[in-house]
Amino acid sequence: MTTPIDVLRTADLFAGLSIEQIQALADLGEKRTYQRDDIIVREEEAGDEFFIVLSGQVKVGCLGAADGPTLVLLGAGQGFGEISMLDSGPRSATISCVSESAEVLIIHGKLLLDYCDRENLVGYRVMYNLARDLAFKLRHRNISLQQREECQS
Amino acid sequence: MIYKVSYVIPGHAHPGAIVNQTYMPYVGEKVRLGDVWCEIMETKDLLPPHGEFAYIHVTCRVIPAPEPETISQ
Repeated sequence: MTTPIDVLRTADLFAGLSIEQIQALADLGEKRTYQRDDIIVREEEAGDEFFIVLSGQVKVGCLGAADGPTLVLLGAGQGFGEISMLDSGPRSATISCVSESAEVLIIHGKLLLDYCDRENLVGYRVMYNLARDLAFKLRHRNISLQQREECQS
Repeated sequence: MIYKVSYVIPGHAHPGAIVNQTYMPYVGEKVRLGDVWCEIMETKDLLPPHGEFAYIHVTCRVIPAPEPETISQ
């Protein structure tokens, strides 16, 4: 079953793309539904897939366990897995489902990167969107840490 | 417009959340972040809008789970 375009267009990865371009990228992937506490990605494991949360919420944690320290929760429209997709290194965090269920679009990194190579303008936009999203995540992290320190002092 | 929202809970161990949504969050709204229920205390622009996206910073406080009829989504 295809994902409705009004859901896909809320994802950062697809910002600035036409409906046809969004659909072509979404068609590279497959949807999967996870249940609460399912681990989607495990820290230190290999993998190049990029994930987009279509519904529900996932937890980004570290120390390789679903019950390890939480770095952030990601909801609809948010992508994850981009670090390993881009640098080919191991997964940098463990991602698990924290809502009753979460629907995720999974795109294999090689397929996505090959598409970006073939379609340069789309590729530029996708990379720009990934960079903006990483910047936003850093800002969120900085604000969270700053407010936590202010409360502790 | 798509609102990319950074939810932060000051003074709480919860790390907050990032969610894309199709409506502007508002003060008094009750949202569920994982297993925690929160009430929005403040909203402000985090970054200038870009294309269809607006970038919002939201400050929340933890609250008990609300009655179903008071939940916005």
